[in-house]
Amino acid sequence: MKKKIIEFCNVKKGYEIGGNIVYAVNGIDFTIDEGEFVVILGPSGAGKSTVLNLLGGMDFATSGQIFVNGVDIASYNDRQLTEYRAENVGFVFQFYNLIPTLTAGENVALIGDIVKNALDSHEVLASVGLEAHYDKFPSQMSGGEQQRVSIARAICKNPTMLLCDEPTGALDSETGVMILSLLQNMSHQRNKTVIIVTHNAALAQAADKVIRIKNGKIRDITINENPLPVSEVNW
Amino acid sequence: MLFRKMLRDMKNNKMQFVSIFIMAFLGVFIYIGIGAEWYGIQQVYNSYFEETEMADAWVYGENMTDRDVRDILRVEGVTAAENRLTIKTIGDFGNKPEITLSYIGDEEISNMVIVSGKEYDSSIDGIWLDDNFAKAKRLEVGDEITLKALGLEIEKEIVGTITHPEYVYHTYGTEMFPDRYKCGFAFISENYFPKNMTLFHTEILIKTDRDDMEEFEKDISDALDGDYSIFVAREDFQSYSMLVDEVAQHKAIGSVLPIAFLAIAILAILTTMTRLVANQRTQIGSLKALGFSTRTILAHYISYGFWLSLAGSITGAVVGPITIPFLFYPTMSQFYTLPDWRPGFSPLFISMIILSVVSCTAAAYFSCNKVLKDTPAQTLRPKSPPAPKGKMHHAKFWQKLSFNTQWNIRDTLRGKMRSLMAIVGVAGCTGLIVCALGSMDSMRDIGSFIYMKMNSYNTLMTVSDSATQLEIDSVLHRFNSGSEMQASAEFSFGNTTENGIITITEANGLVTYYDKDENPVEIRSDGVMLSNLMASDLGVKVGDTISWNFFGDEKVYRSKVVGTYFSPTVQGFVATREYYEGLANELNYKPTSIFTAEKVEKLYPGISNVQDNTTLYEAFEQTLSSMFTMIYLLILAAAILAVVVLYNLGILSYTEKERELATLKVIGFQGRKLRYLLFQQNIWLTIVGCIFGFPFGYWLIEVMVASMKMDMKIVVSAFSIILSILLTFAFSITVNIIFSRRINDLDMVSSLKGVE
Repeated sequence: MKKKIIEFCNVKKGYEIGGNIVYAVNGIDFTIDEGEFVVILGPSGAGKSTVLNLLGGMDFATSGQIFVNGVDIASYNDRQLTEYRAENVGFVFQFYNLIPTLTAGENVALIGDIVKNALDSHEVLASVGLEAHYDKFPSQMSGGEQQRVSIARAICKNPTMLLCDEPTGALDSETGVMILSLLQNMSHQRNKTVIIVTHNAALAQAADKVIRIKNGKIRDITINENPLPVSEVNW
Repeated sequence: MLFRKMLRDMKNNKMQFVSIFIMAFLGVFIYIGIGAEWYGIQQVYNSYFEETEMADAWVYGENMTDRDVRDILRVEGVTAAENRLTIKTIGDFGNKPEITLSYIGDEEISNMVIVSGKEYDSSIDGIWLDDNFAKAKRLEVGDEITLKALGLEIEKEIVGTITHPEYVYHTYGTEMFPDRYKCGFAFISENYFPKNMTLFHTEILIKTDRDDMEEFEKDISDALDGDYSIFVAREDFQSYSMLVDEVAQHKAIGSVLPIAFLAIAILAILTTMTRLVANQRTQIGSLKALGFSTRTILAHYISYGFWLSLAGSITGAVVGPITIPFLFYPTMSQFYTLPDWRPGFSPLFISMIILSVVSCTAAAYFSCNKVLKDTPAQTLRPKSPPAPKGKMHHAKFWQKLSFNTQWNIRDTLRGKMRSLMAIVGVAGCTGLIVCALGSMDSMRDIGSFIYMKMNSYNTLMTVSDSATQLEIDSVLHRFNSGSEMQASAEFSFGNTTENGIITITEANGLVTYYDKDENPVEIRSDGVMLSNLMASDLGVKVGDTISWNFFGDEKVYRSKVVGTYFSPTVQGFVATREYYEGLANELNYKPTSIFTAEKVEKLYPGISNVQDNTTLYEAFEQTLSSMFTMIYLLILAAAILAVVVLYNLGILSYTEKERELATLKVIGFQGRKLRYLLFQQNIWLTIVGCIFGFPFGYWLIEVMVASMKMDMKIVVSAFSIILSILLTFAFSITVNIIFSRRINDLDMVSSLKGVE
């Protein structure tokens, strides 16, 4: 039996717009096990990114509980959330969000400033196949390379989970497949929990678990007993 | 890693950070530079006066005996006292220089400092001569010098050349600029006073540890039974007070200017950091997402301001003292004679470094504090631009404006801080130029007022002290002439006493007096006319009665003030001969100078000096040349201020608007039109800044004048106003031209490519 690592209990997130409260996430429940490769699917505006932000400790929930390793992070204050992000969460963004004035290696080594047990930046960069690009600036690299640096940066802190918001959204399909394989390997070979938010339904075939969201609510959750390797998915 | 990020950010925004650096640098550079200048002088004169045991007070009288010295020594707080004889002598040279000669005893107070030759020794028969005068006349130790005094010719061998603490500032007569060729001082031992005459003393030098000079004067007066003419404390001793006042003036200038630069540095940091932080919004979001705490990120951005201002301040603190003092010292040393000219370092200077670092760091804090308050999720989303406020665009007049004008009005209002900074920078630039040119104009105005307006004579003849009435009358009758008598006096009203000059005039229309608005005033014969500054110093109004007495005479006269007049340099009162002679029996009119509209070149008997008015005027203008250093420095500062501020703003608004400009270019705007678009806004801001600059410049002049003992009208000529406008616009347009090039190079494709 796999260990349950994440649990959302009736989580809501509302924004006040013109005096009314609009819920981007309106009562969501799901669980995620350790080492799972999870895909959150849904159309634009369904609330996928909000779920990811809440899980990543980037935003405060309006109500509900979010348990990570049995602790409710929805009750955390700003300082606790910062600590939580530093220790548990590796982010991979659609637009990579590397620091443009730091080299690839420095972007990864940056993690050493906040986490005590950060992995060696050279090794991590080597693991995404970019050791030779250590001294290149983001602007000198292709989108795919930048995204691999971003993944290296995320795994450098040896996080509990990798949260990826449309990680292939800005990439061509071939590069996208490569990035997704990398992420899937992280999950299956290193037992990392990887959660990907995307609107690309094809990815569902490769996931261990698929959470479909619409209008801020869960539409369904499916579990794939035999997920396909990303490279074999029919795009 | 974040430190590396900072360095690279700075490299990418070079000009803006360089400009912050320069402003922080200039503020500290000027403050500590001028500070080191005056503080160095202060240190030098303090130790000079201490080492030479310079007197704390002087008592003058016709015969200050050894008994008087003993009486004074009994006064509480007196640590030493000695008497000496000081007389004015005429050097036996073609230009009849005035040598102040003292016969001294053992020299325990106000000791001379030997530049060359022998140490002072009362047993040596010889003369110790003013080193400046000796150099001017190319005299050396061993040469002979002859001085005429007491009806004798005193011929002595020069045994030493010296400087003296009582002669730090020493001029001929009442002239302002010391002419070393025309005046000097000398000392001879009392033991070699002419054998056929009886030695007497004219002054007593006092050393005391007391500070209450008014009380002290009373005690001295009691000790001497009032049998003396005047008591002068060190603060009122001209040689001392001139230097101390000058130092105070430098201190005032050195404190006002840096504040302006510091203000600009703070504004520059605010604008630059606000923009940087806004541009790095996503980066901040990423850092937050990675788990950097708000405090770490805040510290990172604050450190930009911190390191820059620290680097600028320290560079300024190092460069200032080794440059600015040496710009001033050459001019200063023409006025004052001090043993050494070197910069000094006050611990107080560190406070300026701390002030600029703290304020710049605080400015950085305030500019990024707000962004960091948002949650990381909000920070990662680009900020939506604020909706245009106001209903201006509905107004009729708005629609009539050209696109350029509309665009520029919106842009100016959108970047309020940026516009404000431009205005402040330009105003500062104009103000500094107005101050520089205006103070020159005002000084020139004094010259033309005195020599062109007041004086309508051609020749000024100085009557010698020894002239007989017969000689004087003979000169007076030879020409169609006027004359006046000037004497030093003490003026009192209520509890206030001021030193000044009384002028008794029989000018016959050759000298006219004016009020502050340059309307001629008539000198009435039923009282005295007080100069404006003296009137305000004494707190006297027309109709009041003041008391006055000559220096060296205790007889007090009372005179009614019947009017005031404007006098820039000579402070005191003017009265007619009729009034003066009618005041008391013993008051006789004996002119000290005679003037005439005719050209005179011959030296008549009883006349010691002949000068023509034009030469006097030229000499006055000459003394102004010493102000040029200050003026160049101010204009240079103005130029740096304008160029740095405007360039910084140019980059700032250019990068902010790059996409908009690229869009306009794509739409089909010509480069020329775009340049004009940016140019228009700059011209607006320059005009507004210029307008604010004038009052600022006037204020700067006022601050400077207030620290001088002169009654001065602040005059800024039309030429100076036009020149300061032209210079300001020249700086502004230069910066514009630099930016015009950038628009031509504007790359539409890369500017419009996706934002991160």
